Parts: sequence; structure tokens; C-alpha cells
Amino acid sequence: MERNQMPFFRKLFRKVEPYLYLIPAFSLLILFVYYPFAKNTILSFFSVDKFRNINKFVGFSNYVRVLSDGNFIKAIRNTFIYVFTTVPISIIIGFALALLARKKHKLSIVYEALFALSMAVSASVIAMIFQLAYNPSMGIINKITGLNTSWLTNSKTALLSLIIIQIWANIGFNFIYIFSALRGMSEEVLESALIDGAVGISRLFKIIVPLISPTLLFLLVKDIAYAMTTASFTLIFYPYTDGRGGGPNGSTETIMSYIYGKAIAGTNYNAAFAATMVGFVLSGIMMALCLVLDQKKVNYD
Amino acid sequence: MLPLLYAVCISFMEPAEILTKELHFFPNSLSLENYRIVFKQTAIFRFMLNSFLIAFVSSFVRIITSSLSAFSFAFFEYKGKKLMFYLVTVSLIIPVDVLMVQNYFTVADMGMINTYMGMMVVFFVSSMNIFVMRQNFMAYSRTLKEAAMIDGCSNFLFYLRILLPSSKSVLATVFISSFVGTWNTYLWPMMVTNKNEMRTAQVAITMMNVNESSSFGYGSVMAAAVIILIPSILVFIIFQKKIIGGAMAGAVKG
Amino acid sequence: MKKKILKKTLALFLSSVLALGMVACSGSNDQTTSATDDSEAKSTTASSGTQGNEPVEVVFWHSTSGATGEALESVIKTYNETRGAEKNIKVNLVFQGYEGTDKVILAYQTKDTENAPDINQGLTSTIPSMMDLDWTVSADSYLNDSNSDINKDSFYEAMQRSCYYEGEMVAVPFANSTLLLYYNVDALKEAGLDGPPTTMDELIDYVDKLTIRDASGQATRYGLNVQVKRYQLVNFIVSQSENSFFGDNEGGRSAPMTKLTIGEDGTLRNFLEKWDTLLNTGGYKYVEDSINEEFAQGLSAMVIMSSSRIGTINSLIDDSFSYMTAPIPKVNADDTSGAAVGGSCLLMFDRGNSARVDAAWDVLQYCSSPEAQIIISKASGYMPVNVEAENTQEMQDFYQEFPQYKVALDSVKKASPLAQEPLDVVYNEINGIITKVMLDFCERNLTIDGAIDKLVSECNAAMDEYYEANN
Repeated sequence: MERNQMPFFRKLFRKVEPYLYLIPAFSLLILFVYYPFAKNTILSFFSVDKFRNINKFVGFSNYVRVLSDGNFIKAIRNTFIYVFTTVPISIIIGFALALLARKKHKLSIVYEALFALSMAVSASVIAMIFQLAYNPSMGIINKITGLNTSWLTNSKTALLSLIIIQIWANIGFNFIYIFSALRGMSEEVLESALIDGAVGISRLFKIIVPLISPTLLFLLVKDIAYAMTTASFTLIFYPYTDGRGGGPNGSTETIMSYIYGKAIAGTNYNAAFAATMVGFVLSGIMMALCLVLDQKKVNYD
Repeated sequence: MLPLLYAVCISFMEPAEILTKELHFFPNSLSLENYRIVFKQTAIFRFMLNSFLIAFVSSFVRIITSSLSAFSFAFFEYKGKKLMFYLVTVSLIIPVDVLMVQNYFTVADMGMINTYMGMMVVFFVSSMNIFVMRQNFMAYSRTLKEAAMIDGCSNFLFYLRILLPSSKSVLATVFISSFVGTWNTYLWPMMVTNKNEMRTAQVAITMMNVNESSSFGYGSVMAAAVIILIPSILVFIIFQKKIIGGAMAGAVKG
Repeated sequence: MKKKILKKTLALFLSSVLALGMVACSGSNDQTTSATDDSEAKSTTASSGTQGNEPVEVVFWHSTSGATGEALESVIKTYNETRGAEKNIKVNLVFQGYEGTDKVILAYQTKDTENAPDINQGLTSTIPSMMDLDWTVSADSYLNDSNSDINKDSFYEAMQRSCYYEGEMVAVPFANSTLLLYYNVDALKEAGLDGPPTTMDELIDYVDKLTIRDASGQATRYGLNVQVKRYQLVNFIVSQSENSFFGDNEGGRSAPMTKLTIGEDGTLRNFLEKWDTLLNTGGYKYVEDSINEEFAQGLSAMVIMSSSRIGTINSLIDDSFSYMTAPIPKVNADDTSGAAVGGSCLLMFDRGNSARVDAAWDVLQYCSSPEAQIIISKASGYMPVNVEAENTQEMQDFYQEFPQYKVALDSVKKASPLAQEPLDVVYNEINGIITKVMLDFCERNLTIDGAIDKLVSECNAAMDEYYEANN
């Protein structure tokens, strides 16, 4: 009798086994990604009070209200400016530095160390350092350039100041990855290209870039995903509880900081949930564009 | 690099030196006053310990969750596998940061505010890491596993004793990138803690600047920044080879 | 070989489980002690704490740091060692950064009493949203209790009123300040000016004379530096007359505020007209970067800031020049009301344990006592809220040495108690709107009419949106 039961359990176990291995990851995914996503989507169509009790169904009116809020439109605009400046510039600079470093083999170790260092620095520490650097009377930037600009409090320069910080923060990571990818390029391919007459800039674009395109795409996706949903610098420099939320004239408001301001500082969950969904859609579009790029331009051989 | 040097210089300056309009690269005298203020008025070591704990444990757990799932995807065939994998891919597109408000309430309802668990739990899984590991595992030949099975090895033991040990470089990559990510994170730990002892270093340093009538001059803030930076820099110098190696492995495989 | 690997992985697994377990549990240390308090203390209602040996813990959230923070810590330390020890009460002070009120609301959202405070120091403008939480305890009945050390009249009238909501004094004044004009006495003398400006017109004239420009016309020393946000604007409005409230229903004190009145009654216009002229001088810096340090460095001759910064300014200036404070200039020459009392108050919460609430009240009585207030006041620049404090020899001497502090107190005593900050339910949003509109105005992107229109309509819209979702 017992002998027959064993194979049955073993069979059952065999069948269930692969699912078991998925349980840890999936239970977390469901709890912290899918469940809040669903909840957010559903609630965005209702009116809730400041204790998140549901009042009534309101269809799209939360969305209408949020999309006609000049501050939110500005936030979207700022976010896209942020993405389209920080991402390409930090990748290009990282790329350029990696190319340079590749030539000077002796110093490359030093470069590696220096850039690895910048990966160790967290957003808030960078923010505090730059906050002092940007100070108009005491900070080093104005002291060196001799200018008198109030970098962080002037609505014309605030966003630019944050972009500069973000680019600096990204370069280290980008450099390391591109540099490693460059080193991984096989010399034979390069030499055969040289024989074929590809030199200089055309070599750059026709050979090198495609060879490291998986890495470039990886960096692109990672940086874009981050830039679309970040609010760290905005919230550190311009806390909502001091009236400075969103920066001078909302010039540093990002989608995420807008959501935070509405939800936490304003207990206005109607606006927050609707804005979150809009943020999702926009991020999704950007990611989809990246995937298209992956299909078309990236080669994995 | 440069901003870090800047911070170090400022941290040694007296307030009067900082408060001038003249250019001052190096402090006239090395004053430890700022550091004294930081040590006396903040629990900076506790904050750093908090940051370190969440980063370390989260990364460790992440290795487990992503390798287990990748194992399942790479070495088994079963119903719904495509669907499950699809779910993982789709979650890549959903930016988790945006869900923070909802997650806050979930965590609060579970009573995990002000706990280490609460701060870490959202970092325990990462679809990106599942992806990378699966990619890596798929490069292994199926026959390897079948050979092991013939030898009497169960699936789980195969995972533990053969697969994992031979994937050390990928595991290291995942661990390090997770560590960096969670060490740096600001928004979530800030939302989930309101007890001083539980704050991470990243949150604590921003609070030093918050109140304008505080005696935390800019010098002290820089001193705190330097203190927080030291261990991370040490770790990075020691593990530099692994980091670069990990970057290579990750980069080449895409 | 096999055994070794197995052992290794087992060890790793066990240690990680241990680490996780330790780590997950250690964060909740404080909760276990409060839980035992709960079960023991439910039966007692007397204010003498629990019958067991565990002291009643009172969690006190505050947002003071620096010198003020140290003063508060020493006051609480004394309490814990003396009166608290007698009554078996222990206070646990927690610093919450700029404002702990948002976190209290967040905790309430999930009925998270474990992670909520017993006492919160919050800006008076947060009183309506706090009173909305049903676990907030009004101080009114405690103040009327004849056994209490303090009652309403222990506080200056203006401060009493700052804590009034819907007819009751719900909170206890704690760290009160008022808006003051700080001026560099030496700089004024150099420019041939004697004494501070008392009206806006004089202010404008002063700024003109005090601004130093370089060759290109760029100001190297500003005559005045202040960024107008909600706090500043409110003061300039309510100081105009006893009837000029910021919004309807007496600025939200007799009943919830539903709209702004400053557009209709002309007070905003009066202010903006003067401010417009001020901007024309080119010597007014309208953003704040590091206003304390810049004043101390002599980069601005006058600033308008909360009196709570006097302590900081003292430590920054360091004898390089002498400065003095004065009441803020009147918008119109015939303004009557004076500046509003700003600052924070203390509110109590009931986390489900009445012994704790009684303990919290005991702590509040202590913090409002003349002795405690003197310590805090001397360190910070906040005014002592207890009327008896200023009559003590200690404070008299203090004011002799630092006359700047006295100006604040006199200003409050002279002002009408009706000059108060408004109690607007969406104070963060309104603060944001005012800051943005004023910045726009100062950058000359808005006309006076445009600014009035935008400010009033956006604030009203924000309040409407709030009431639509929360009725």
C-alpha cells in the first residue's frame, strides 16, 4: 500500500515543483507591484476622502482635473526635459570617457577606481554637497565663476542645476559598464574592420557602437526608467512642507514629486492616483520605445 | 570625484571660513568641530548601520528570489510558464516608485512601519534581476541537469550544489547592483520611518538641513556626508575587482 | 566534499534566517513595552501613572533642532528625572524634521496607534486637520480643570487665541514667535538713517538708501531680503486691521474656512501695491538662499524673519556688527493690528490608553511652566508663552542683555489678539500657491490684478477640491 502512495506524491511534487520555486518572487511581485497597481487603477475612478474612504464613482473626472492642472502639465514637461537631457548626455560623456580611458592603459585602473567611487555616493549625499556648492554667497560654483546666480532658487536655473547633478551622478555607472563592454570587444573584429578601411569616426559608429549595443540599451533603459519616475532631488531641495514644493514656480516638479505632494502633503488622493496612472502610461510608452529600439537596432551576437 | 573632495575640505572648515565670499579651497586649519557636532547631536553610526542592514539583507534575499525563479524558468517546462514569464516582463515596465503611496498603506496595514522588515520588503524582488539570471541560466545545457538527475540528484539539490556555485559571477553582479541600489534609496525609507533610530543615513542627512534655526552649519552637514561616504568608499575599493568583473559579465550578456 | 557543501549551504541558510528574524523583530522593540502598558493601565484613570512598575511612556514628536532642540531636550531630561520620576512617567522625545503633522495624519490613515505620538508639536495652522482625527484630545477641559497647574490665562491672550478652534482652546501654545524686522544698526547709521522703518513707505525709502551696487548696477548688498510665503503674507494682511482676516469665518477659527477674503476686502491689494514699489527699487532680494548667513555676512542690511531665529543670528554674527529687531512695518500708515503670533502648539492624542493622556497632560503642564519656558526661550528666541516668565529676574536680565528678544514679546502684547494665522485646511497647498504667485509677481510675470486674481482663485479652488472630497 505504502509503495503505491510514494510514487503518487512524488509525481505530484514533480508537477508542482517549478511553481514552488516561483512562489517567493511572485508573492512579492503580486503584493508590491500588481496589487497596488490594480488598487491604484480602480481607485483613480472614484472620489476618495482624505482617509481614503470611497465617496462615489466619478469616472474620468479625476483625470480631467489633473490633466487640466497647469502644475501637472509642467511636471510632465519637466520630467521629459529631465529624461531627454540627463540620459543621452550622461551616456555620451560616459562613452567618450570610456573611449579615452581605453587608449591609456596604464591610467585606466585609476579611472575605474574613481568612477566606481561615484557609484558609492548616494543621491542624498550628492544633494547635500551640491546644495552647498550652488549656494550663491558661500558655494564654490559662484566663487569660481564669479557669478551671482541663485542657482537653486531662481526659476530659470533650478531645473538646470538638478540636471547637472543628475548627469554627474549617472556618469560613473555608465562609464564602468561601457568601459567593460569596450574591453570585451574582440580585437579580431576590430582589426578586420580596419583592413576593410573603416577608420576613425565611421569605425566608431559602424563597428563599435553596434558591438556594444546591448550594453548601451541596458544603460538607456535603466536611466530612462529612473529619470521618468524620480523625485529625489526635487523632494530633498524643495520639501513640500515649506511651501517650496516643486521648486521655484514649479520648475523642478516631476511627475513623482507631484504625486508625493498631492498624496502626502495635501492628502488629495484623487489627484495623486490619477496622476500616478498618467505617469504609468507615459513611462510605459518610453519603455515600449526602448523595446522597439532593442528589436531594430541591437544585435546580440 | 571633485564634489567629494569639496565636501571633505568644507567639513574641516570653521563656520567663519565658509561664510566668506572669497575662494577657499583648502581649510586654513583642520578643525574637527564639525565632526564633533555630528557625533554629539546625531546617532550617525546607528543611521549607517540601518542603511547597511537593509542593503545587505535585501540584496541577499533578492539573490534567493531571483535565482529560484530563474531556475524555474530556465530548467522546467510546465503549463503557464509563458504566462508567468510574461508577468515578470510586464512588471519591468511598471515603475515601482510610482506605487510607493499604495505600498505605504499596504506596509502600514501590516504593522511594519518603523521596522527593518518594512523598509526592506519592497526590495526583496526585482524583475530585472530575474531576467538577468534567467538569461544566464539558459546558457547552461539541459543535459547537465539530466545527467545530475540520473545520478540521483533532485532538482533542488542540483540548484544548490551545481547551479549556484557555478554562477558565482552573476550572483555577485546581482548582489552588488542590488546593494548599491538599496543603499542609495531615499524615498521609501523616508516614508516608512518616523522614529529617529530607524532612519537610514540617506534620510538622516537630509534632515540635518531642514530647520533653518538649527545649529547644523553647512560644515557639519559636509562632515556627516564624509562620514557616510567612508564605509561605502572602502567597500568599493575592496570589491572593485568584483564590481568591474560583474559589470563585464552583465554587459556582455546584455 | 558533498557533506562540506551541504553544511555550508545549511549554515548560510540558517544564518540568513536568523539575521532576518533578528532584524525584523528588533525594529519593533518599543512596541512591546507599550503593549504591556496598555494591558496594565486600562483600569486606572488617575494621573499618577500605572500601578505596575513600568513607567507610562509619553511619545513627544517635535521639530526643533539646534539650540532650541538642545533646550527642549534638557527640559525633558529634567522632567524625566524629577517630576516624571515621581509620577512614574517617562517622555520619549522624537525629532521629526520640519513637520511631524503629515506623519501623524499618515499614521492615522491606517489606525496605526503604535507608531503615532502622544504629543505632537505642530504649527497652529494644522489644528483643523488634527481635530478631524478622532483620536485628538482637546486641551480645553484640561485647562479648565482647577487642579491643573496652568489654565487659559496662564498664556498671553494672543497665544490663547492662536490655539482656539470652534470655540475651544484645543491646543497648548508652545514655541511661539512673531515676524520681526531685523536690521543692521551700523549699516543704517552709515546711510544716515536713525531707527528702524515703521511703515512700508519708510521701508521702501530705506531700501533705496541702503542698497549698495557695483559698477554694472547689480546689487552687492541688498537693502532687504525676505521671501513672501504664506507666513509672511498672512502677517502683512492681518496686521492691517482687526477685521482683516485671511479668510471667512474669522480666518477659519469660528468655523471651517471656505474661501479667502483678502481679494475682496482690499488688504491684498494694499500690500501688493507697496510691494510693487519696493521691487522697483532694485534693492530687494525676493528669494531666500541662506538668509541667516547672508544677513550675518552683511550681504543684506535688513531681513524680515521669525523671531525664532534670533538665537541663530546671535551665533552667526559674532560681534562684527550690531543688529536690532523691530516690529514689522505697517502696510498702511494707519494699520492697527500688529503681527500675528506664529509658531507651534502642542496637541495631545489618545492612543487608546487614558493613563497616557493624563500623563501627556502632565508633561504639557510642565512644558508650559515659567521655568521650562524660560529655558527654551533663552536658547531660541521663541517667546515664553507663560505670562509669569517675563516678570522673573532671570528674564529681566536676559532682556537687558539681548533687547532683540524683548521686541518680539512687546510686539505680541501690543498686537490685537484677533491678528492670527488662519486655520486653512489645505495649508500646504495654500503655502505652495502663495509662494509661487509671489515669486511670479516679484519676477514681474504678473500684474497686481493678475496676482490677486490668481492667488485667490487658486486657493479657493484648492479648498473647494478639498471640500468636494471631504464633506
